[in-house]
Amino acid sequence: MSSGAAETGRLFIWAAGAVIRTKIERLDREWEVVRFAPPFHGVSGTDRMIDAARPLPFAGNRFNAIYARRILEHLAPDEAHAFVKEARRLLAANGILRVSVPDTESLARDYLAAVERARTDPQPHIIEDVHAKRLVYMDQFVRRVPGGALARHIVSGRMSEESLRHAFGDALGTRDEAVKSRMPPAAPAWRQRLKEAGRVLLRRRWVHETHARREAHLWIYDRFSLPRLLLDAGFTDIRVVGPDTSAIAGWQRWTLDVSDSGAHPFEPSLIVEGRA
Amino acid sequence: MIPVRHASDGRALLVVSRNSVAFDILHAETVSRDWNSVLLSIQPAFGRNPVKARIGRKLAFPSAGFDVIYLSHVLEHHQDHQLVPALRDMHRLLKPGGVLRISTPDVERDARLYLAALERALQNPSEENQAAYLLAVTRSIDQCVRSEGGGEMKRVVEDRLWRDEDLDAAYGKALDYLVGRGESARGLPKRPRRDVRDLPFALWRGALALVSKGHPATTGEYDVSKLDEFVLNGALETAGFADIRRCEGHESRIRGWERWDFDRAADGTLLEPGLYLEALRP
Repeated sequence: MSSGAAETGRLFIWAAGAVIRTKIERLDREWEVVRFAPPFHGVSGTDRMIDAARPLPFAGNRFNAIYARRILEHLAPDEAHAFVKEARRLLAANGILRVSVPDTESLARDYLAAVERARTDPQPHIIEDVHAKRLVYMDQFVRRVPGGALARHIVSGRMSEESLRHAFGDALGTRDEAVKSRMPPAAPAWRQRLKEAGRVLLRRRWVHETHARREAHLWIYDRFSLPRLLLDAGFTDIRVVGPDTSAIAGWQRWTLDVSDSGAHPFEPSLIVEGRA
Repeated sequence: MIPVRHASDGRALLVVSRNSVAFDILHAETVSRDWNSVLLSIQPAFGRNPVKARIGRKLAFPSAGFDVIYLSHVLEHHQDHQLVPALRDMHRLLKPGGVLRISTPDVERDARLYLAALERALQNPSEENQAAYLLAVTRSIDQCVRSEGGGEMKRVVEDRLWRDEDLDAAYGKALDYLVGRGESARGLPKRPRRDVRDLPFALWRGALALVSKGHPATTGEYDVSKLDEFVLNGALETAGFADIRRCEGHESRIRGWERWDFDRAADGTLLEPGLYLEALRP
């Protein structure tokens, strides 16, 4: 059920974020762009949606390159496994799958480094940094309100320009833009509770709003588990790559993973590629 | 108001827990002799034996009635905005000079465990090291993300590819009843007889489990916050507590604690590794 657009041989799957849109516009007719549904915020009427937790709506052997940007962490382990298998089906021989996820290992190291600093020098701003790093590391696993404690922390203006850039790169825009976003509620609103209760009636099970919207993170990936996920699905030539390197021909042209304003990644991630 | 029961030495002791295995079964006898006990639930809760209460609600005990309160592995089931109000309520319940003891999983410890297991799995991806890695990952997040009771944790633990020391490092002896290890080899002791007055609550829980198919969101096994020493210190200070100290496992400022030591496994080690803190109500 592919759309009428010209077949490009490249598929870009993305999940969220307002700023990434500016980059996607540049992909123009060189990539087919689809968005991972169900969406969690900033959805526009023109986005083409797919559900990455289900078989992908494309014929096999159709693409030479697939980039799943920040998708896998929103899938349960078995769904992620099936998704990578689906990607393998869509790729022609020697096609490249590129996947990026939050780099949990670095987030854990950053958090522990902040803890060490706070132990030797327990000043308020250093302890504040421990809170921020703990939320960046873990909040997306535990939040029950869209945005969670992390978004509240950011909007409250307690993170410096530097620590925002370190955690999110350019993905949240400038600090001023990030701080001006709407403050998420601390507790689930009635509206959310009603939606959750409705879901119990319809699907006979409770699913938290943050899980239903696929906002929550459902698994940890790192240098060990992400290459293994691709290996299990039959990919070869698997390697961890940087934001500006890829086996996809012409990668530098699209600058998808690098910042347009400096020598840092667009959003700090762990990126892995494999060959079908 | 629920009346406060006093121990033989005249003190009023309260334990607040969620895990009915520990306080409803393993320690049921000691608790019912010396302690007041509250089981917290994320659903509307009622019933008196032990007292049931809903997370986020004030406990219906009189103010300044207790010498000791132990919040045993419950704060991780409070959402961010519920943390300080819950501690304020404990402050209200304690007499001046009373001790609040807290146990909860420790993000810092879990992060160290995860990084160490990751290093080992990268160096040597043996079956045991992979099992240790999965134990560390499930310890870090599985209780937040699972969509069925026990989740990935249950699968990893039941696969039995782990070494004993790796299971101990991740979960202590807390899962021994799942794997039939050590003292729990013969399964759990029989649950003490229920009070007939609790029948309506049992029926309500049963109906809920039926409708939700035992989904963790309704059983309340989800951890909805990840705490460390720093955030807990801050919350305790905000709630009015003083003299906050981290304790190593069995240590306590509660007089006669060694008599109960609910955190001790049968072999004398810590039942569940984590963050143990005590604070005083000034």
